Amino acid sequence: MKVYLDHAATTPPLPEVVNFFADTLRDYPGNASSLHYEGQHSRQLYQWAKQTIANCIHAEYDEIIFTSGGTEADNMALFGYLKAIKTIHPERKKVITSSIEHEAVIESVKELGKMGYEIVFVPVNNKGIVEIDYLREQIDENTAICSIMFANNEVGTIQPIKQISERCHEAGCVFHTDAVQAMGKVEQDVNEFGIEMLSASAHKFYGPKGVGFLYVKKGTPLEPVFYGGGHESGLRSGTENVPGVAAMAKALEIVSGKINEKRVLYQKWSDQIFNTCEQLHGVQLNGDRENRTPGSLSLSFSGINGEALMGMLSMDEIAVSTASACKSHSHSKGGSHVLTAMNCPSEFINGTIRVVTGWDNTDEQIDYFCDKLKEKVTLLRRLSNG
Amino acid sequence: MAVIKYTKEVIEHFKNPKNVGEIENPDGGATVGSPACGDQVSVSLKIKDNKIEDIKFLSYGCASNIATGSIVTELAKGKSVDDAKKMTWKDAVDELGGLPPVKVHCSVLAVDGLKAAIQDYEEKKLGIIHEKRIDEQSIIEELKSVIYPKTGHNIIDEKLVKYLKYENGKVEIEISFDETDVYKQNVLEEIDEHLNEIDGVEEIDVKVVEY
Repeated sequence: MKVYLDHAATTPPLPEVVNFFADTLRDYPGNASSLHYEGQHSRQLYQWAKQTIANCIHAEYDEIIFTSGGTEADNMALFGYLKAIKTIHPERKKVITSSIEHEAVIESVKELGKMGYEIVFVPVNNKGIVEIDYLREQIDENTAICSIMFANNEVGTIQPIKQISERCHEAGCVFHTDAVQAMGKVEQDVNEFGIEMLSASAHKFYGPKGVGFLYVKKGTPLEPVFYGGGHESGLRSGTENVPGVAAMAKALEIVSGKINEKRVLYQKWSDQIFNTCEQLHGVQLNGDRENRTPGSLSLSFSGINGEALMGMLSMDEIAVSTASACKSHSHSKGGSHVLTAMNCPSEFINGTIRVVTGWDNTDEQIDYFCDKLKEKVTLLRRLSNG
Repeated sequence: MAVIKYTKEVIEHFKNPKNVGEIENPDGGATVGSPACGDQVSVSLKIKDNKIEDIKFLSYGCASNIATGSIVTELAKGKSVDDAKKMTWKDAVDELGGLPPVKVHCSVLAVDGLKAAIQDYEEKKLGIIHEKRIDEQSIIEELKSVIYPKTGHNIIDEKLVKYLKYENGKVEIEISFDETDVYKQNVLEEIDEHLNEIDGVEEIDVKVVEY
């Protein structure tokens, strides 16, 4: 039995989405910017996609910019906004983010640091939640932008988005959130949360890879980061990816309608997995027990190397992912900056796997996973302790 | 992000490792590596008529750590102590049909574990005192255990070390990396770890230089 439990890495597209993607790829060959009948035919589908996505996050049609995914959306938000305000607000040279962001944000702000911006990485507590008091202090009249992820990709912890955006607005800076891990799992309302910019990626919510979007609240200054034919209101040139955005819209529409139903189901599975772990002893759940994206579990096992556990499970066709701590030995992957920032002891970090359930899982699969987890953990512990 | 591809020999030894456990009342034993770094191997030995009669290992490590522990103990079993001492990590890698460069250090650790266990046997049972003379040559030998993960060769053979001096407990090293080398930090930490294990080394000064 194949059991895929790595839905924070990517999700298998829903069957309806695959069919829709194939149909539109075939039936909408026109360039959505062409004025003839074929172009207009594609344009209609493109417009439907944009409106559908806008509806799902309570935004307006013109506030959605299609991109190639989350990384491009994050780069566009940070570089595009700073470029746009450079002359209007030359005093705003501070960029605030957290120490547990995805690399798409971390590496972007490091680059901004090289360009002369002052970068502040706000620490997190041991549950992976940003130190809100420190964050509030740091946001000031010299702050240009604050970018804090909606939910973390390694531990699933959800950040106090509304509190952060309120402070940003008091200080007159904009708030960007990388919502790649939250989209389709947590209800999104950009107005309710006070978000100026939000990044999302289709393949994390059962859509195709290589397509995503950036929400930009009306009136937020933004310059393009690359140039061409002036698509997406001049902000993101490049021929519209009609089948991609249509399939993304289809996926988000379906997924958004089932958020509550899935939350209940995932909670049941998470409890079952966690109970299995408790029987094994020496297991720690990383992140906040309550305040997390449904279905995400970061589990640290004492006396075990996570890579070995992942490898053992993979041989039985169970897919989970790892986190590693050591800089000097785990050469395959650098240390987990998220668990390190959360002050997780390195012995535990090395014994960490991430288990994330999704739409394609079944009760039978979770039972099988729990059995195999028990078996492999016991085996590996015998290997390390005799 | 590196994608790790293992040979079928590695997978077989990972799935069904040989010689797992701990020998009771061993003639020699040692633990090398550290769990904080995610890699640790313990080796215990039973020696009869100067031959390794039995050998077992415990591993707290990744798939290749387990596989190299298994293969090194298999190779050592039945060998004379002198032959076992001559074993190198290359023997283990060859027997496994190769290891990905980023995992070669696992074979170094397993062979180090074997040698440390033999040394323990020689010290405890035979009363041999291993005199450790520290000089530049012995430090170079130690640095040959530091693997450059990009290529799977040691940093001495890779000619990364440009200058080395040892005087009164102080080691000075100059090492060169490309500016963008992602393994720089790994290698520097591992140099530190290896040199710190040498009794008598009190100060380590590693400089990264451009050549």
